Amino acid sequence: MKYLNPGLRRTLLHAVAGILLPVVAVLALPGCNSENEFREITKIEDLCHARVGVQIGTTTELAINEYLKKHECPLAERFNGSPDAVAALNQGKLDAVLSDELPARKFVDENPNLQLLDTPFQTESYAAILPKGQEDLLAKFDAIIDDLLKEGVYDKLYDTFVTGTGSFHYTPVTKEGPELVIASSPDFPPYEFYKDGKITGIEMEMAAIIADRLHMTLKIESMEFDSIINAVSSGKVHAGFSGFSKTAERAKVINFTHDICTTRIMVIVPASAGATASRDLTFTDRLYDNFIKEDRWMLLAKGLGVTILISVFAALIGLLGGMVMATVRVMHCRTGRFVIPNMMIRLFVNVIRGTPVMVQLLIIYYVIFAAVDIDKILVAIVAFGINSMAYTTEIIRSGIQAIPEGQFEAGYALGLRPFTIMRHIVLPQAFKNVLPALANEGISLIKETSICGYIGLMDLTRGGVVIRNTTFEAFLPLLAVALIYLAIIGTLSAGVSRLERRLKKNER
Amino acid sequence: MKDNGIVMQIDGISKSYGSHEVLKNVSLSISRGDVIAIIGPSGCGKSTFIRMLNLLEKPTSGKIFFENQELTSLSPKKLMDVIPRIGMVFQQFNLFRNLTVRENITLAPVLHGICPKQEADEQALKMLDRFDLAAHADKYPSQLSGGQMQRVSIIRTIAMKPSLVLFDEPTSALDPEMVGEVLGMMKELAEEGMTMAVVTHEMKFARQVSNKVLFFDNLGIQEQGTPDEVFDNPRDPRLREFLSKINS
Repeated sequence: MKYLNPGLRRTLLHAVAGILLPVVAVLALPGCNSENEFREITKIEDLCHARVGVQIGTTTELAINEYLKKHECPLAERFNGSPDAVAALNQGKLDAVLSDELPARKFVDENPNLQLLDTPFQTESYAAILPKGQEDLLAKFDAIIDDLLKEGVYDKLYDTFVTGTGSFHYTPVTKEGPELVIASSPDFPPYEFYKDGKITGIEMEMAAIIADRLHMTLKIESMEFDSIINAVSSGKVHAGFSGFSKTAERAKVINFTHDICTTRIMVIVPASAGATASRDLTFTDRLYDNFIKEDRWMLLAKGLGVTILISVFAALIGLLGGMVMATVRVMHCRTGRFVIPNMMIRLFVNVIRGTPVMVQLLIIYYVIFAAVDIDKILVAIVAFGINSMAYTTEIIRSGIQAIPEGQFEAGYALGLRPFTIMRHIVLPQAFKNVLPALANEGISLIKETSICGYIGLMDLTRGGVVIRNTTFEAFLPLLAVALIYLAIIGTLSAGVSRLERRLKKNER
Repeated sequence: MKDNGIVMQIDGISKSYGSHEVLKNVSLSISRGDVIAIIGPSGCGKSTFIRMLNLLEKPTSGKIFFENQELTSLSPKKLMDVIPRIGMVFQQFNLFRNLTVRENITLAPVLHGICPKQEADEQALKMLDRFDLAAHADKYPSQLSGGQMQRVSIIRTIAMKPSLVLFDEPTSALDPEMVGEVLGMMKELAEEGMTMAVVTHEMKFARQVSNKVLFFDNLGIQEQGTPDEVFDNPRDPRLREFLSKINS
């Protein structure tokens, strides 16, 4: 730089600054609330023209959007769970979040930066949901719920989970017997949430009592809120307990029990300027909160196990199926046989490659296996296996087509049958050629399994999400999840490179 | 068919690709112990002819009799029982690149149940040893020279104990210094009485080793006879022209 004339040097410096500064600014933005337009909300009317967040698929969403539409205001932003919306509020991306009263109070307790508006937005009540056609079971639920309210059980639970003045925990008498399977999205304290790695909350305690009085053992399936109605209506589970408000729309597909409790929809807003004393947690505190406290790291460890289990078996199915289907495709090209299987495979490959794997997973779980009681891990293995198979088929087919004709001819001249030539000569060579492409497919597969949460599986990603929903911190759990994926895939890549080198040695 | 010493009888086979005729009405009989050299200018259909003898190319018409069976009328399954007794050696060797030399040789005999793995291994080693290739038994084809590869491929072919071996330009892909070792091996096998049909450009080999020379041109066999007849006393003007071009 010293040899440049001062004018040019200045120009260069400006250019560098011109590129770097915006980048730095963009990076700094999320941590810097003053950059965002902030609208203070003091009454319900202020919600109009404010940035409002709400959990998707809830009656709160319906209610607020109806209200906003009526006042010709922009609609609310929809989040997968209330904790996500609260996190966005904390980061200054929203001006207000609407949520049911009890979770809202819980959020405000955990976040000193937040407060509730004094006036509720609306009042509503929760009930459990059952599939249509289960009217007998519904009547039993209703009778028990009525009894429980009369017995004052709800009040005891309220004292335990909300005011903290009680310590009521129900211990079931029934230790064995048929299972009562219920679905819940445990990100809705104090009704249902994770504590010490277990799902608990007011509705969960109620469910436990109902199961016990039915002489059944309770099994709770954790899944995304917007999957639960599907799971109930398709009969995958006996009932759903997840803070369901009664709406006419929902009543078309499922039955509601009597009200379990009444609640109010509250508006969560940032605390007034003076009170904005953010929790100054040290990094060590945050590590402790996110991973050590209540053994939360176990959620990641167990999730990792599920992710690996699904990936490994799906990859095996994909590889074996892909080999068979690629062989049939090539044999058709070479001999003109297998006309119909070949057509079916082409159709299969086009359909699978032409639709998102998420949609395939949901279809397989909610449509194809709707009537069958089948382990969800198995469903995921089948879904991802089938998906992978389509890609593997095309990869291996291209590998086979790259094998010189002479290899087939030599096999023929030795009297080997076409399938024998494939198995002993062509596939081993093709496999070596396409190993990098197969590894790529395996890597995609591992990452794609991160959508398993949608059928209620606790995989690695969902483990991170559950921690995030408990601690309201996005950074550390998601970073940990990302690093673990990176580590698995890094290990896989290294393994494949070694295998590739070893196979190369044979050929040189 | 009685055992009258005839290994293969070819009756008027033709081959055309669409409207393009390659061979027309070619007949030939191959007797036990015959070493038939097939010569001719490039593009004359000699390779197509030899590839039709094991149905690697399907004749458009005509019949091929081999060991009491007419090949073109056999079902694919039955055909595959006959094919291994017609050996074939290719211009590009076509060794299986994923298998070692030894595995290349033993794969087919073991899969066909001709002999158990251990016996096949021993025989392969014996053959490799005989042709000075024993040191390469556990190498992969890519580690061998062209001449070595072609000699291994010949061993692979004869391990199936064929009653006829077809050679499709076995030395054309080789560097000149390696041609000798392959021809030497073929000569040795011929002298042991192996029945062979060889498409070749090696006139010296055709002359010294074969007992019958076919000159292919103009859609078929233009002239045939003993090496002496064909090389010393060519009658067909095309053959004369061909030989003069080669010798010049």
